[in-house]
Formats: sequence, structure tokens, C-alpha cells
Amino acid sequence: MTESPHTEVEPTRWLDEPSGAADFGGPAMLRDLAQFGAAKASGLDHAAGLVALRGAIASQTAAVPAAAAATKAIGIKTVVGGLALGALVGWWALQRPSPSTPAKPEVVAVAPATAEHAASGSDATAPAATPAVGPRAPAVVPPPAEPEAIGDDPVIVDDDEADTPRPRTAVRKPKPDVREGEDASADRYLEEAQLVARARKALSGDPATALQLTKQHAKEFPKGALVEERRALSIRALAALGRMDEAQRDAESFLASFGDGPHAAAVRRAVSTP
Amino acid sequence: MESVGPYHPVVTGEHLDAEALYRAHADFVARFLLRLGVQGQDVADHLQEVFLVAHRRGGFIVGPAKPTTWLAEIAFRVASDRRKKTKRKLEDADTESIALAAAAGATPGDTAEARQALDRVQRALDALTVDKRAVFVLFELEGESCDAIARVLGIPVGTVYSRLHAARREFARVHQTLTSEAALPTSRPGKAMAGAGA
Repeated sequence: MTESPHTEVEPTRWLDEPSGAADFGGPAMLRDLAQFGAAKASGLDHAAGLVALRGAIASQTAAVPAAAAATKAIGIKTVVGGLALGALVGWWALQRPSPSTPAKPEVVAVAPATAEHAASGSDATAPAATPAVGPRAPAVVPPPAEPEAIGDDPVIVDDDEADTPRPRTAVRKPKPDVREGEDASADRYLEEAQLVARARKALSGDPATALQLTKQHAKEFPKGALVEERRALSIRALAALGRMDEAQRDAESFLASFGDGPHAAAVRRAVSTP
Repeated sequence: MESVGPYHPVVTGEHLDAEALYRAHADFVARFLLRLGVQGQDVADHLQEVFLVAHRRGGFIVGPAKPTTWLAEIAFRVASDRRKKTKRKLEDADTESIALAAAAGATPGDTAEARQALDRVQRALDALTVDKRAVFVLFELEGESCDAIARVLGIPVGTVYSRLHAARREFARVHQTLTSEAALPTSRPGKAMAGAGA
């Protein structure tokens, strides 16, 4: 920290009180800043992003059993309250009927909502149970919803952290199996996401290709995670190609299933175009 | 916050999981990442990382603090950290670019002028160090208080004041320079988080 802290009253936002900006810049600067402040992020595909998030969470939850999470958590060097939680995990591990039985993350006795304040150094790879024993976890957990001061440690912790020493009491899960499962799931999802992304990109300039790609998706991923978006893209491609009868027919079916979904508005617009 | 998207309203004490947070605040986080200087083609990947970290932290409990403040802290960490790391393969899943878009103008001329304004501001922001940029963006654009920013960044509030003052001064200086230029390039500088680590 090179700045020298000093005390003063809380400043006022320039856009709230333009006179406060007079010492710095003129009205043109404030106009630009206001314009910038009003700008929205465009090009964000909410559906794809949400499904990607869902897939990533599911992949982690399915592929990383709580035992691995517990060992990873304990392997972290600096443990706040580590003795207590270690004993808890040890007790938990001893209660497990079979070391090879994948456990659900919810088994771990740290409620997800209470783990949110753990430091970023530990929260990146481990499920909800891990943060409470992170290397920078606070001695006193702050009240809910208060962001925590975090140092320069990376937020994203590499999976290699799982290689840290593990306690005898923890249940081991062969790491290669876990990684292979994660990779296979992620790769499959990646393939699907890439295909839909290609269709999405093709839609504006080459709807015929977009339509072809949606058909390919339907064939390769009939029950994929992105079916909703694929169907919407297909309808929009049909409309763009002037095949309105087919677009209308498919839209009716689509809206019956996904009328409240994130693609419904685009589909309605596509088929309502004269 | 009145709701988590069109799906349901929220109440104090309610636990919001990563999906609910995404539905309600993905736009905010994307915009914040862009304001921090993350390049458009990287925003989707950063965005997912932010909400994954939110998931790993166990979600958010509705209370006096704003979820956007909480997410901004995560986004700041992710953006700062991702600069140092090699890209992951999941980035290839969706390489479309996300950008800040000006509110629609009445005429094409208005729109062009608005885009130039966005460009000037973004370039002035890019000239700041990432620490000063974060303070400036959080305070001037996101409307966070200095106390909240201090908690988000883990620094004394006095440091927030001094960074804000320095950021304002530098932002205004660079903006003035850009405004004075006869012809402004329409694209942003090619590097993200330009002042990071300075």
C-alpha cells in the first residue's frame, strides 16, 4: 500500500454533484462519464451462460466427492479452527460405511450459506465445505453478506492443491478417476456448447448454416443441456430463411414449453415479423 | 435488490444460490468486468468464474449488504487473477465478444457520438492502475460508498479516499487529452487491465 491514508469526509459522486468535478474536468467529461455509466453490457447470452454455469457446478458436484473435498480442505496449510473441523471430518470419515462410496457434499457439516465468507484463497476449487478452513479464513466469521478483505492470493486455486498432504482419517478417492470423470463431462459439455455457439454466430449472416448446425445438435445432443437455445435458434433461422410456416409451427410448440424462458422473446419477435 | 430476475422476489435472510445470483446480476457483473478493463471476448469466461466462486462460497444471504457489492469483490479478484493465468479450454466454448453498448440514440449521429464517449471513458479508465480503476468504478459508476469499497478491497477507508482522488485526477487528465485529439480511434487499446500491478 503506497498511498498514505488520510481522513476526510465521504466524497460525493461526480454524477450526483457535478460541481464536485469542477476541479478535475469540465462538463464534457461528465457527459461522457454519464454516457458510460448508462451503457449496458451487450452480447451476453444469458441462457448459454446460465447453462454453462449449471454444467460446471453439476460437474464439480458429481465428480468431486465430499471425501476428496474434505481431504483437500485439510491439506491446506494454514487452518483456522482446523483442529475442530479436522476432528469433525475425522469423525465424519469414520462414520462412512464404505471408503469407495461417493458422498454428497451436503454431508459435510458446514452449511453452504455460512461458508461464503471464507477467503478466496480456498474457495476456488473446493465445494461449499472448503472455505471455512481456507488459508486466509478469518478467525471470526463476519456477519452474512459482508464482503471480506482478501489479500493478493489468487482467487482461482489450481486443482494441484489436492495433492497437499492428507490426514490419516480422511477417506481417499483415487485422483485420476476423479479427474477423468470431470474431464469427460467437461469435454462433452464443451462440444455441445461450441456447436450451439457456432449456430448462434451463424444466425445473423448465414441462417442456412445456423439451421444446419441446429439439426446437427439435435442429432448429436438430443437431450443436451442446450436444447432450449438450440430450438430457439432453429426457429429464428427458419424465420430468417422465410420459412415462416415451419417457424410458426415450431414456435408454437417451443413457447408452450419455454414461454417464460430467456429465448421466448426472441422467438416471438422472429415469428411476428411480417 | 427487489428480486432475483423475473423468477421470484427475495426476502431478508434468504439464501441465493449461484443460479439465482446469475439470473439477477449477470448483466451487472458483465458490465463491471468490462469497466474493469476485461476484454470483451474474455468476459463470458470471467463471468462464469465469478459465479462459480460465488457457488463455492456457498451463495449469498440477503441482508443489509448488496449482493452486487459481494459479486463485485469476487469479480475484481477473478479479473485480477485471470490476467496472470493461461486461458482455460472452456473459454473456447463461447468466443463471442461482449461489449458496453450505449443507449440507443435518436439518430445515427447520436449513436456514433455515444460510442466515442464510451471509448474515451474506457481508454481513460484503462490508463489507471487496476487498483485505482476499481475504486473509481465502484465509487463513481457503481455508487458504492467508500466504506463498502474499503471492505471489498480489504484496504483502509483512507486509502480508498486517496486512491479515488488520484484516480479522479488521472482520469480527468487522460480524458482531457483524448477529448483534445482531433481524431479518435474507435477501438480500445489491445491490452486488458492495462495498469494492473502498477
